[in-house]
Amino acid sequence: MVISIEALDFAYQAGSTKHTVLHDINLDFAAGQLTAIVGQTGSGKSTLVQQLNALLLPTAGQVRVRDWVITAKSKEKHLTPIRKTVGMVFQFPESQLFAPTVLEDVAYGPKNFGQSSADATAAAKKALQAVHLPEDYWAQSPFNLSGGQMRRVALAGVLAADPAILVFDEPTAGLDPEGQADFLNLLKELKAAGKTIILISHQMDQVLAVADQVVVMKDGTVAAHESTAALFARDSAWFAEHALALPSVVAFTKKLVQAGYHFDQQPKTAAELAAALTAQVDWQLAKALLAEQGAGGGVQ
Amino acid sequence: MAMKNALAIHNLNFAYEDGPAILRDFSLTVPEGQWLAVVGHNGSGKSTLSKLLLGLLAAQSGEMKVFDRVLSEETLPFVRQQIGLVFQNPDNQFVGATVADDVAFGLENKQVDPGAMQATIDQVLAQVGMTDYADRQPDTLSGGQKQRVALASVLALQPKVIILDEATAMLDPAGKAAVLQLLQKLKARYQKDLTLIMVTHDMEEAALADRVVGLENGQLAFDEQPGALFQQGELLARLGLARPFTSALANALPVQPTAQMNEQELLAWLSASKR
Repeated sequence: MVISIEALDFAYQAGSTKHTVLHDINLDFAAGQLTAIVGQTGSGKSTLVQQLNALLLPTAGQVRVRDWVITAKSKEKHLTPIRKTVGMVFQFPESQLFAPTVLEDVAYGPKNFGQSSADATAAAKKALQAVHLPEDYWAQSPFNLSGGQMRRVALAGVLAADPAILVFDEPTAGLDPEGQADFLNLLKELKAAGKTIILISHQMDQVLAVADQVVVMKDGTVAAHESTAALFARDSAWFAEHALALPSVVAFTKKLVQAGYHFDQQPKTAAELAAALTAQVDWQLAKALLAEQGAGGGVQ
Repeated sequence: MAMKNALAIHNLNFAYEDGPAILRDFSLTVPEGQWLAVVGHNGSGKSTLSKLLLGLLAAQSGEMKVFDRVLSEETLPFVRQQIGLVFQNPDNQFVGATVADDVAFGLENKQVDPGAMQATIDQVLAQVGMTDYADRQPDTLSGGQKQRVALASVLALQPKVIILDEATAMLDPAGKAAVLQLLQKLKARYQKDLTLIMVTHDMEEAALADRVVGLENGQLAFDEQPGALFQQGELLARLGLARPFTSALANALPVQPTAQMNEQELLAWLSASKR
């Protein structure tokens, strides 16, 4: 396991049980996997991921990242290698852009971790290529870019230091559907490049599309940690109890199953569901029913 | 009596300094009481439009009328009285130390008689279902609760038009559902006395509106009822909009209903057609 969390408690004011935000967390994250963390606002998701690179130290228990152990007593000076290994992309990362040009902004991270100016610039160029930001933009001010582009610059800033583990806190909040789709592709590429990824998301369709594993948080505890397939096989009532929205495709598949349809696995998109349905529908009958309703029946 | 127009925008042109044209000969008329969704790419000019309407930015040419008065320096106070704005980020719109103070702030600015103020605060907090939170600090609220308080602050000033600029984009599903439910309730209550303009990327949200207009390259790319829009897959894709699930599924089937089906109708049809 590349990250192990053992018996972790966290309170913003140590010693006060009243402000316990996380309680008895035990979680393992395997290398190369994409794990989504979901749960209601206030369930402890962001607090949890901030333990992973020691931005917050546990009140009790420990976090192990590779061979480094983070506890309540960890000293700041020992944390640099951990921060270099675990790259953190916060919500609205574009608010942290600051340099006069895109390239300088992205090179700041590796420079800060001690790389020479030339090495940092080379790393920055590689990272900007990885996030598919065209070279025309590199000498521009990051503040002239669109929201989706600014977010890619901010992500490149984290990638430039080449962390093996990437943590994203709601990376697509506020992006338009196209920006969201772009980002999803980027996540898939990072996963293919062997990165270990932890993704906080409210968008369950995104979780369905990219996650291998899902952690469900509720009231500061882990309510479930299982494969994405196992999670979406749970019934609708369980999702409601945990304040999770079912992706439309999953909700509709469950209703079709109640109507007698069968699916070997959960389709991830409308197109996959349509393909899985095709052999199970009597299309002559379907057409006749449409004609009866006067709703037409265009045949493709 | 003829229907009044809440907004009438005619041949508006706007560009940021040294930037490309954001709005080009843009025209749009919104009748009083309409629920309008405005959709389009990031950067298509949706938010610029709200800023122009409130006089936060000045257009290079063209005309904007709010309830038949042409927007100008003289009419700006009138216009701002008619239009309330709720922003995307729930954390950027609070000034008061408590929820009630926050609602009071706008009223104080309007120099409402302090005696009458409390009744208004109570009334609007009740309308948004936040009565029990009147004494809470805004930063202890969830995102959905914050946006409901932001709406209460706007409602207290009795605007005729409320613009919601991606007001649910940062909310979790429960918070989003609560805000959308509230909007439906307000719309049912105020009818033609409330014009709602919702700037959004979310097609499920746009489906609640009476009318959806899409912006592309600074102009209107379409002007439709939601049902008709959702059948136009190519147009949606070009505008970077996600097609709602039921419409996408219907479109991918070998036999397709020609009319838009909602989820229940689609399910009933498929259930009855099982081999």
